[in-house]
Amino acid sequence: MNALLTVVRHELRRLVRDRATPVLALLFAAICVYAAWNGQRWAGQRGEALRQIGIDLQESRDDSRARAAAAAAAQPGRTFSQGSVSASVWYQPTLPLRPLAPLAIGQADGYPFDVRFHPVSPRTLFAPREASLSNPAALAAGSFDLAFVIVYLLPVFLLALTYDLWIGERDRGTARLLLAQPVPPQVLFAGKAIALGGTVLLGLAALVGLALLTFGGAGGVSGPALAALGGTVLLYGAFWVAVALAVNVWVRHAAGAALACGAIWLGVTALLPALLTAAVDFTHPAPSSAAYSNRLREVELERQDVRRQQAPPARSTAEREDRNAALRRTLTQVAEDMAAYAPVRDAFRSREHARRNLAHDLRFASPATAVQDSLERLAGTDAARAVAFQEQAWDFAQGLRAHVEAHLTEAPPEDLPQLYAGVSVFRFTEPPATEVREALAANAAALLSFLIALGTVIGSGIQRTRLVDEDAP
Amino acid sequence: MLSTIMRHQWQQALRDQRVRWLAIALILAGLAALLSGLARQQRLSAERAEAIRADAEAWSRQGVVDPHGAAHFGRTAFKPISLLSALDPGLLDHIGSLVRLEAHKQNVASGRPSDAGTALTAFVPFTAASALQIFAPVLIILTGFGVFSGEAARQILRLELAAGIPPRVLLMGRFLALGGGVAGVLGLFGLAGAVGLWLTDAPAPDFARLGLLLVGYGAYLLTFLALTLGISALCVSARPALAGLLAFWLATVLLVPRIGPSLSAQVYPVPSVPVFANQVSESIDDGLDGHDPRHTRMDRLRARAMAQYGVTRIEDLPVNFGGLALEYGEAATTRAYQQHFDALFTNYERQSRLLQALSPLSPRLPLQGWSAGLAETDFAAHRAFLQDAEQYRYAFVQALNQAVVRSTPGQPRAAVRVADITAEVDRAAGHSVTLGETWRRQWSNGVLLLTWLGFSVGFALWAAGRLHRLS
Repeated sequence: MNALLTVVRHELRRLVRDRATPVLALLFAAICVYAAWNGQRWAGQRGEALRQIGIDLQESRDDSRARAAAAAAAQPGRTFSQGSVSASVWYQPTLPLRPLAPLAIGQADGYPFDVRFHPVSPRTLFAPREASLSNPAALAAGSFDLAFVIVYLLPVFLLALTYDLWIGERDRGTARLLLAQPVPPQVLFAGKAIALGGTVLLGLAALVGLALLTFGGAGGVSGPALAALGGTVLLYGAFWVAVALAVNVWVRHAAGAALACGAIWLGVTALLPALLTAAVDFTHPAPSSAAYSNRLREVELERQDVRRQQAPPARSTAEREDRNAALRRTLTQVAEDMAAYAPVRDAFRSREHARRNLAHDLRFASPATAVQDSLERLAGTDAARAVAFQEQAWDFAQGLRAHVEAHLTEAPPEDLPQLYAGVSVFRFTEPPATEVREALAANAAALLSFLIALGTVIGSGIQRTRLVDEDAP
Repeated sequence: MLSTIMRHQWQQALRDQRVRWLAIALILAGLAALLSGLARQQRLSAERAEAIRADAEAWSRQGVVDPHGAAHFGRTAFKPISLLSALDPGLLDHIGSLVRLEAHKQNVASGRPSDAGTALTAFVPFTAASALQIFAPVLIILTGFGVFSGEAARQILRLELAAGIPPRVLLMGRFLALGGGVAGVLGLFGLAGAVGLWLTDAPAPDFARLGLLLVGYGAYLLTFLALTLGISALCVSARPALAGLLAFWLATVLLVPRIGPSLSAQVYPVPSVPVFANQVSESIDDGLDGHDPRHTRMDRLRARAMAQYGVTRIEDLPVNFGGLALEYGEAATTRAYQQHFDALFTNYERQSRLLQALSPLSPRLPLQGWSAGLAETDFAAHRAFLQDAEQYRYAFVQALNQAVVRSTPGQPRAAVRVADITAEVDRAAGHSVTLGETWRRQWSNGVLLLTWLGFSVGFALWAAGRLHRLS
């Protein structure tokens, strides 16, 4: 234990003395601050858009109420029902932001965060809606958020400070001297890994956390969420320290080690995810939006034909005056339309679902994609949450029609304020915490398995003969 | 002497197994990406052709219907997919592939391939363009970082200089040798691309686009080669040369192209979807200047129509006033949409110009513009498609409104065979960015790429002049 402490103390002293350390730390801190600020700016804009939607919706409901009151004044004896009021207003369910949203913009620009519809015309709901008007060039470049810093840049800084963790000793000619001490090579190696890798990793992770809390506006984040974030960053960082250790065991020269570290970084963060994407595209290409759009139009034409063939029933004067009967007929028609659209919509969504599931499963193939997934889930900008929003909004729209139909009891105009107050409100229900926890745990397990694999590689290489240059005198 | 140096450098590069295998892997992966890009382009084009057919069929199938109902049923414009998108898909995944064309509304393009993604979507896809823009510079760095610094460490450089070889000749020999390798790799991509174009009966300008595209990539990769040799000539050992070059690659190839668009979006922000929708809606309700409400405009239209036909009552008009109102309203909403879309796209343009101004920080920035521009996968090509689609939308909606104008005044709108009415309206042609237009937009990026090349060659020659220091 004493030997380990000595090694750790020695390494820490060297790390502090290294002129590159403060420069790299400052650079990393600056990048973290910018990324956190950028994420916060994005979250602020999204929050503002959500607030604007709320204001517009309220204004449109106030207008509707004023029109209803005017109609009541113009037509004495006119009555209203909860159903007719609910059917006359616009609805705009929205996906709220989570406190850690500035951490990762993730899929937030790829899925709609709101949907505007009327109870008697929600057909495919999400079909023509765009999530963002951002410049496509900015979308193609990718977002510069803390997730990008963690996934791409944290490894670079870690590797820059640890790539010659042992090879440096060999280059300086001190490796043999160190191994001649009565300290087992495993302890020596562990000491260096803990002191250098551990300190650097903790320092960089702390910078990420500080930037997020101070510049990312994530002050109100819960303890467990922060712990999960910290755990993910440390586990991912540990993977990269293990990469540096493995390279130091198996490679003999500093230039070779730098090369190997660079190649592994490029492979894990760029090449492998790109190949996984290609595999998804090859086996499950994105369903054709053009074919989907045309199929919906075909169904629309078929429905028009059906309506044309169904001669409107002759209605008595009493029936003509019965607004509820008209509303019921419209609701039935919408329900029939929806039933006709359902197979087309379901077929498209099931292909999307299959594609998403495959991509989701393949994330385990690279530590970088697994971590990206964890960060998006913590930020609430992941695909699963966006899809849950779409499904809940869809169910809300379906339930709304049943609600309208079930509340057609007439009430006097004096009750209008209560009737408008009784209009259904959409509230997004967060996916169960266990679901998010399970996904985070699965990603952590994937990282751990990579770590164990690297541990085996390191373990098989730690022998005195491999740790020194065998050709050296 | 130059050819001896080149031959020697070639032998050395080929002898390095790491470089050899990495080069083979990169070329194979890049060509595979090119082939899969071509297959994707063909699939998307076939889907588009089928979608155009189905859209036309659906339009005709409506038969005899209310013309304004038909205008709401609308049509769809499908974005053409250029052949060179196989090489560089550019913004293709982030711009919509279709636009729904309907009355009263100018929709944004929908159906972005990047929609409905997962965590994998956050990573750069592997394409022939990303192989050349991101990975090829790494290969160049790995091949060239030890050319001088490694030789200096092994004391070989001293012998070469002692033999009387001028340092700049030494550098140029190596630059030409390794540059030949770069040309070879680009030649392979060019050959594969040309065969692909030839097999798909591409028009002649597409071959010119491919040629220009490769010239841009050549300038970009030679820039990295010259910088690599220059840094190698300045460093005493291979280690700092490699570290410096990898740091430069990281900053210029990954960081600046990622920070740049985010920075330009902050300087020239764009509204969110609901804010944009609100702005358009306000312009439609209150007029473009905000002081011309819809009802005032309708009153003016009534007065003008009655004055034009010399009547005092709307009922006496010889044309259907409902049709006139639709026609007038369509023109007003179109102007409102146009104004806001123009403002949005002007902001995109400003962002692009700011990004271009950051080009001295990264040669990849001008290359991205050059490559996507020539492959017709940039925003300019998309905007040309949107303009075509909008022209068509306006023309067919107004043709249908004219049918309403002609229907009996004071009566419900008569049903008409809409396909006959819109048959005369020219369908959006789509592929409308000519090579000349692309050149006018992209020449500045070409100049920036050549400036980078000139600067880096100059730097390498200057560094070669200091080679004596290492020996």
